[in-house]
Amino acid sequence: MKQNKLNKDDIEKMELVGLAPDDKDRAGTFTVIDDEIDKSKSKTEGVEILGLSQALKKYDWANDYMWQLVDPHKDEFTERVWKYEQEHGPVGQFLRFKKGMISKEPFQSCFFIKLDRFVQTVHNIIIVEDEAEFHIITGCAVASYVNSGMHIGITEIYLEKNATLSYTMIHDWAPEMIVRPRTGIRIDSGSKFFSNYISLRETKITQMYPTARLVGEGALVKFTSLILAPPNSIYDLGSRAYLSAPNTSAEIISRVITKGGTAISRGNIIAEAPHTRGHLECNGLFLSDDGNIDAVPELTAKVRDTDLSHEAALGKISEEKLEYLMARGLTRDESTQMMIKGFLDIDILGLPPALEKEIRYNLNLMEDEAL
Amino acid sequence: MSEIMLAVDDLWVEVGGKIVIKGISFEIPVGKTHILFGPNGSGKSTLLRTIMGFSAYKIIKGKIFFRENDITKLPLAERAKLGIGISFQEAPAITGVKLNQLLQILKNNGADIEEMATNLKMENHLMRDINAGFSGGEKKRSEILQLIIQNPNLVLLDEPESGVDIGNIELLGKYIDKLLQKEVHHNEMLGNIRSKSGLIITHTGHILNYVPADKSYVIINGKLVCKGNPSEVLEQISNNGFGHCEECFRREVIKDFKGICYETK
Repeated sequence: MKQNKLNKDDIEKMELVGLAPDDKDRAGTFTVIDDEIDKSKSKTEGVEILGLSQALKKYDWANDYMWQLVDPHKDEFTERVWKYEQEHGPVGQFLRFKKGMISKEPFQSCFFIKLDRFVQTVHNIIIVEDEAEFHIITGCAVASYVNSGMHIGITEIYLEKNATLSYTMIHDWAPEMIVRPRTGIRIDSGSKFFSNYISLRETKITQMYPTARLVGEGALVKFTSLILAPPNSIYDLGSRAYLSAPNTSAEIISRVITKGGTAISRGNIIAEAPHTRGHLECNGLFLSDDGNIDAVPELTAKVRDTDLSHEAALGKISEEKLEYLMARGLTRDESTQMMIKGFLDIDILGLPPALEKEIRYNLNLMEDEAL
Repeated sequence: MSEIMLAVDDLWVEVGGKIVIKGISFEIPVGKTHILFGPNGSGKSTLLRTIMGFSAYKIIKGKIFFRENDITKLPLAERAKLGIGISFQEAPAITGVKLNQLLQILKNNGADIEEMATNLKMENHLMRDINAGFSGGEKKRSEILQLIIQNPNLVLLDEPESGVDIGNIELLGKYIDKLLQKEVHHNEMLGNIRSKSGLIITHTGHILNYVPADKSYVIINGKLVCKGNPSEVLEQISNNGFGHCEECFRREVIKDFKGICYETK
């Protein structure tokens, strides 16, 4: 057994990225430490949770969901996971939300690294069956002494018909961590997928470009990210949506702050079917003279009957707005903090109130430290 | 003699490379409300915003005293903490900051936020981002609500009634009165019972139907050219526009010019 037991410090770090250690107010829990499953537990009959290797043994059909939405030969990172799986079998979760089941309590998962310079490769399959409605909170973090390493996460998410899933990810890495998640989402008719990504801490580079394919009529996707790039950190984040069926829509919203680091906010919406709508929005804020923000929106219309738009605004906090708050007696620092916290507003995520309250609390802690 | 809340002494102010206020002096005693009239671009808002301390307004000469303390060089937030408050003519939207969130921080007296918001028909706006998507009238009510909760001693109001329909002007007037403690019986023989003072810019004068004022000024081209009883001055302006005031302005300029001549002699 390679891994150490979790200590108090580790648990605190996991809590910060959304993990309730006692599973309180959760539909279930799945945690991986380094490359071993630490906990896999469902608290409701609506949720089936298995280790992915175990699921592949239990269900013949589970293999049909493997590497369908992410190409194993896409790049060196997917290749690496692919090869690892050939030798050791996959590490990760097989999560199935059963037909017609609804839960306000989120399912939680956490991928934690305790070994310095460790390369964590995980593979997750998530299936939301017809008419099911669930929330997932996923946290990724490292032990406080871990400085470098790599995390590659392959995630394939399948929404069947008229299902809803909100998927909130909070990351807390370290200055020399390389983070390369690879995510594909397939959304069938009438289903809605909400992806929320929050990361305010140091990373060497975090690069991802989750791609949603809206294949059924009326499907909807919304990607929202709240990012703060500290000095020497690179965040290269994008989201892509293929509007491949009529009446589908996509919204990609990013709020990006640089405190000296580089933040690249990409977005790509491809309209391939009529009566589709897509909107890209990036707001970027400078908190220091250093740093870079790039907003790179791409819109592709392959049909005439579509409505695609984008807007971006990059700059510093408006002096007029700061002085509005200062005229009420708040200091410049207090006003700035208030504006930044407002800028990274989790209201826009549309989470259930209890989860929102929890995440707001965690976000506040992380913001206070980051600022 | 009554105590002075605000004293402005020979104030000259530059904004964006242009001198907008050209030697203005006046005083507001504790408990009194004064009115600023003047045509568009005459410098009324600049004067108010300079007293508040916004950074775009550079004082090139003169002094401002708040309760006998020289605040000429004091930063904006510290003036607010001392007890000066302002309502904005054009309040910006503060995205991501809820009205209630700011009110909780401002809470400086016993006022009940919910109750006061309901009184000002703003109860449904408490959980909304400040001024974001508010109508003209809602913004004005939000400004007065914030000031009531902030509870300043010197209240600066920049056209509190512009863009507000008649019914809501009455409502605003009622709460501006509250802000200025107009409900307190102010008997000068008993000394200063009312502790709040106000300086109000009004373009139309409508607010004077609801808010009693003690004195008024007319500003033309950055100069104070007229002091007088608010209703008399308003009547004069209503009947003749600012034409008459411009004559007074020329008289002021000639006085200055003579002054310079005497000095150079």
